Amino acid sequence: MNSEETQLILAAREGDDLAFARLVAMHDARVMSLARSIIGYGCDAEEVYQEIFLKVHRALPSFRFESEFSTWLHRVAVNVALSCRKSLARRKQKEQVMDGNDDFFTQTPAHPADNPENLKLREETLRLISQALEKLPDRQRTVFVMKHDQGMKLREIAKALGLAEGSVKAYMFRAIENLREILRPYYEGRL
Amino acid sequence: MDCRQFEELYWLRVYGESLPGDDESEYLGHLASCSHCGTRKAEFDRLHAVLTLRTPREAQPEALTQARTLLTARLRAQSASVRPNKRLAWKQHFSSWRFSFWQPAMALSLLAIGLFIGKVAFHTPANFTADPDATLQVQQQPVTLEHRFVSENVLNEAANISDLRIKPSTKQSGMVQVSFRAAKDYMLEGNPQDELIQKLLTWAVKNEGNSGARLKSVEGLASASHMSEQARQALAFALVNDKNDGVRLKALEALAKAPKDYLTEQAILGALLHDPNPAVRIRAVDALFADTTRDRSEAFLLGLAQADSNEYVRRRAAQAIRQSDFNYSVLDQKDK
Repeated sequence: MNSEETQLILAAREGDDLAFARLVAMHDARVMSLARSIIGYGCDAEEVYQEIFLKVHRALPSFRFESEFSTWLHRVAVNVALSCRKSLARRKQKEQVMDGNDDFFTQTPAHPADNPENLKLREETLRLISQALEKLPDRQRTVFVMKHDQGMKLREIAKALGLAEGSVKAYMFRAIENLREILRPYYEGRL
Repeated sequence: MDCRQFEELYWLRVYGESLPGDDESEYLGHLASCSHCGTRKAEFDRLHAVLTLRTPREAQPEALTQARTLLTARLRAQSASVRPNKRLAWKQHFSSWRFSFWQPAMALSLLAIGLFIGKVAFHTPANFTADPDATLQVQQQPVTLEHRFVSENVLNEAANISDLRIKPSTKQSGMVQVSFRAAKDYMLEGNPQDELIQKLLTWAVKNEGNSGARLKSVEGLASASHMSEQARQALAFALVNDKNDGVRLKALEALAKAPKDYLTEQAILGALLHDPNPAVRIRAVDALFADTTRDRSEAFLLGLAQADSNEYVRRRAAQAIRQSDFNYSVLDQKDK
């Protein structure tokens, strides 16, 4: 943790809103990218953003500098994102729920060399991967996207999720194994 | 090393986890000697190639800016609402400054405010004074009405004052200029058709940043037995402009039940033609065709029936065409 971040945390804990705003601006892009990986297309990203950082603001006095601030922040973000997924799933069982607005995020960039056919194929593949991920249990999916999408180290993921590193490794391997089973017909050319 | 360990090391390697030196050489040795794992590796390579198509989605800079602004506003509102006992709010607010080096400045500021308010509240009417300079001074005080309003409505026990700044007046020496923010919570109760309630809900539909609050406001307007023209305009605005699918859908449902005018008609047609969400387009097509008195443009219906990406919208439009006086042989010919 750098000294600027430490100063900002200390100031924010004392009620300095400007310091908190700067702290948020340092981290929110990465935090939201992680949250998006977990929630998929469904929850309202803006509401998730507000919930994450309002929680962080409330809980900041309890931050004891025992871990990296970003690790602690990721933990809050993961909890909010998972809770949003759960409540969305509950609501979907009871009523017709519309998908959230995804304008919060950039579109997946197209490769400059992609022709329309390749582009369509690529979109289809991405849809299949997303569907496959949706079939995974929460822990497996969360660990996988933290590793694959966010490039986090297993050690960081373990701290952010409050799990042992060995457990994280096991969740990751199970996730890959499940994805392999689901996607095999596709990458083996049977679809 | 067995085949299972090989598999684990494969994924640790591709995902950039550092391996101890021994593991690396054992991994390569196993790969060279085990044909089964050679085949598995080729399969893993294909799976990995597919998975790498997935890249993380980044937040739009504008969306982040907007979210930060809203967050700041919500935190301010939150801090304004956290007052355990309103009667002691002032006392508690200032007791937290007890050991602050700002204490003298705050004391001076309060004294200045007290003097200032006292001067405004208890000043002798201008025509009673014998001192012409004093008369002049009273007359030069800016916006006396504003002073009275602040005195009567803002500086009371429920006030939430922040960002107080004090500096000498630029207009006259000896006077001070006090600037501050004041927030106050309000609560209104009434029927959804009450004019003031509708005005508030209308404002919220157009301006509230929180989509949940906008949705509730749309529902509130929809529940009114009589909806004002401004309310219908706000719903039409939400149907065309709101970013949230749920808000647009509720606005559409409310407009479908409201008395029709040109603007609402256009908004529903706009939703039918342009809304990105098929559920909204489906409700729009239902809303349009549920009203048999509506003047339907045949060319528009035909275009819609053939062009919409959603099958239900296409079928519903085609059905409406067949039920109307439209010369549907044109459509049938095209179908052939």
